[in-house]
Amino acid sequence: MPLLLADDYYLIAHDDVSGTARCGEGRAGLGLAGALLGELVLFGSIDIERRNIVILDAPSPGDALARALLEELMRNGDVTSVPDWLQYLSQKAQSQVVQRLLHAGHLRATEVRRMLQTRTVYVPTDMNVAAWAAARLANALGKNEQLSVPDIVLSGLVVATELEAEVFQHSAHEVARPLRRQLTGLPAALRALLSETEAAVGDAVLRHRR
Amino acid sequence: MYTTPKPGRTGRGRVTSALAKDRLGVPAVTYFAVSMGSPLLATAGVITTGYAITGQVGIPIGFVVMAAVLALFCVGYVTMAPYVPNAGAFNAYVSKGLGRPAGVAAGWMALLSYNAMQVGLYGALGDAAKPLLQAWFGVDIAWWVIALIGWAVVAVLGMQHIDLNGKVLAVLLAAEVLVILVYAISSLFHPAEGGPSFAALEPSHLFEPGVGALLALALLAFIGFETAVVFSEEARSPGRTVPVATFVALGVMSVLYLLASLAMSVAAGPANIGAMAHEHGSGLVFHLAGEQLGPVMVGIGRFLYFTSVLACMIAVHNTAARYAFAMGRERVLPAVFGRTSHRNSSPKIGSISQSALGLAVIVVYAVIGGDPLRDLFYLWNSAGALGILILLTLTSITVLVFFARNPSREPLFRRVVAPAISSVCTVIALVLVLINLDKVFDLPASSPVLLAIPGAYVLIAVLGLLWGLHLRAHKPDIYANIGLGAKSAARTGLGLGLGSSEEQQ
Repeated sequence: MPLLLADDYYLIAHDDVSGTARCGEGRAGLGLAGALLGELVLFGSIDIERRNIVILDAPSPGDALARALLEELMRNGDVTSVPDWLQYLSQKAQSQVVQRLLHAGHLRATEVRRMLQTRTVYVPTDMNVAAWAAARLANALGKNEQLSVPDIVLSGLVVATELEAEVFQHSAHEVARPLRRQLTGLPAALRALLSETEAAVGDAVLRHRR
Repeated sequence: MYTTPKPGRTGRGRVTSALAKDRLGVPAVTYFAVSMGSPLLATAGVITTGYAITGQVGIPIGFVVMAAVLALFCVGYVTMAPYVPNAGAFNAYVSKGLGRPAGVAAGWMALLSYNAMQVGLYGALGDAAKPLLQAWFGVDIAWWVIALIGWAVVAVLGMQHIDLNGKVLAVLLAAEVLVILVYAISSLFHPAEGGPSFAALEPSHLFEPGVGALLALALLAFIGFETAVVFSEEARSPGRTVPVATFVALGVMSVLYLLASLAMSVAAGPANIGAMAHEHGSGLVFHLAGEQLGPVMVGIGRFLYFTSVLACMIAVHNTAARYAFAMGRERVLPAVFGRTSHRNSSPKIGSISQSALGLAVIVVYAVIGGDPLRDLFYLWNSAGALGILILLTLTSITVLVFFARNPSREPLFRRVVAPAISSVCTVIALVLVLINLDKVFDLPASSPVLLAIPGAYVLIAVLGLLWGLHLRAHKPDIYANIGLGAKSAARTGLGLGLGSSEEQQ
């Protein structure tokens, strides 16, 4: 069974062997938030119009986390702005997606003792599964093949959160052009979601404080 | 002035509350702006050097005038902020009003201005730390050694994107303000022989030759007020927080600087202030305090002067790095400037290149030998302030043009009257500063530097304009992004559609 968007993104944003993050928490959080909203767009549950989320009348999504998120969107109808939701979800997306991956058996929790602290690290159970998404994208884009819509969104999230170098490595430069063409072909809601995610990553830098 | 938001108001969902927790209120935004202004640096570094260099007594009245001009400027500035996708960057304003090529020019000028200021601050740090080290450890260390240590601290913090801990800074800032007030009040009660003289406040000083120098100096002290708008999108109450914070910051700084500069002239006597400032440099304010209040108050003041410079360096470093980052996101600068660092959200390349520039300047000044306060801090910061004055002028005009082209419900005063007066005033100030440039920098009228500094701004503005026109002709997708900052979404190339609906000038 193929993984959902946020699961794939999580595995891409973390090392396939050690499970350590490939980018800072803030950036990965926004990427995961974008991926979770992306799942809802792919399920047909929401649309994005003029930087706002519109809830569509559609059958309930087949995944528990996606369903819970949709319910949360409905309960909080006073907030519809995509940047606001990305901001809000980025704080908790990580733990939610980890739970889903743990439940599906793709991650396992390990205690790591470093200095005086004990930290929980989530290590992929099967590094082939963990590395699969990145390999699939790099391979298809390298051959200039058409990706599936979820995979285009996944690649778009990789670009938006500046993980190209980690995912595509040496071929990052070569895949940029074919990827861009495929991104432009996405439905409007998904394009909007990707650019909102990218803008949120940049704005986090510009408005940094503390 | 400020009331804490009432929790659990009806109709507010959990998400709203969670987001509200992250939003900034008036005190936080005000404090951010004032802390970049670094009041004690302005008092000990800017005002004293100003008295020494310009040889003018009218510095306090210069503050009054500049405060009024900036208040008018800020009316339009904060009114337009919600319409600007990257508020907090002058180039984002200019792009929306005077066109994208002018926006590129403004962005490059801003980068030059803030970098010049950042560089000059290394000199102030050396000047601030030297007497401290002498008093505490009895060692005499060259200013440039201290500057290099400060440079390393700022370089590392900038890379990590760490602003000094907010609470620590807040305490230091409060202490700074207190010290300035205590010094000022004490000086007012210890006038020079012949009783207190308020000659420094006479408006006649505004009609003396060299008034441009007073204005440039006052503006230099106020810089930082323009940063509050950065938080337009995450203010607790949009449309109120940022305007209130901007005016409070401006008001606080005006009162402090007016008091401090007046008190200095009262205590030294208007006739002697220039000579005394020349003799003591930044030490003047501490010298006066020492005579009146004793060595403990001097020690406290000197320590806070040092922390004030350090805080200002970090703030200016981060501001300049943010400009570079935003323009890198737009692709108006090479894309690498728009890259986020691997681990943390820092504008890495902007930060590194600035540190490299700073290092080069410290080394050059150490080799050629120059007074850290006058030749490095004052010269470079005044040069930066000149750039900011040009940007204020352009931004004032931008606000007028923008609201003329885009009808809105903003009150007439905010969108027309204040920006119009501010445009006229900033143009006059700019002309006066340019006419008196020799007095601003204290250089002989024949010095090539007097041409080089404005020349650098003209050159970079022309290059920016040409680059903007080049982008319009050859890279329409990048051209459309100018002024959007992070919202240009140029990495995915998908854009937010913010730049498309407008006229493609």
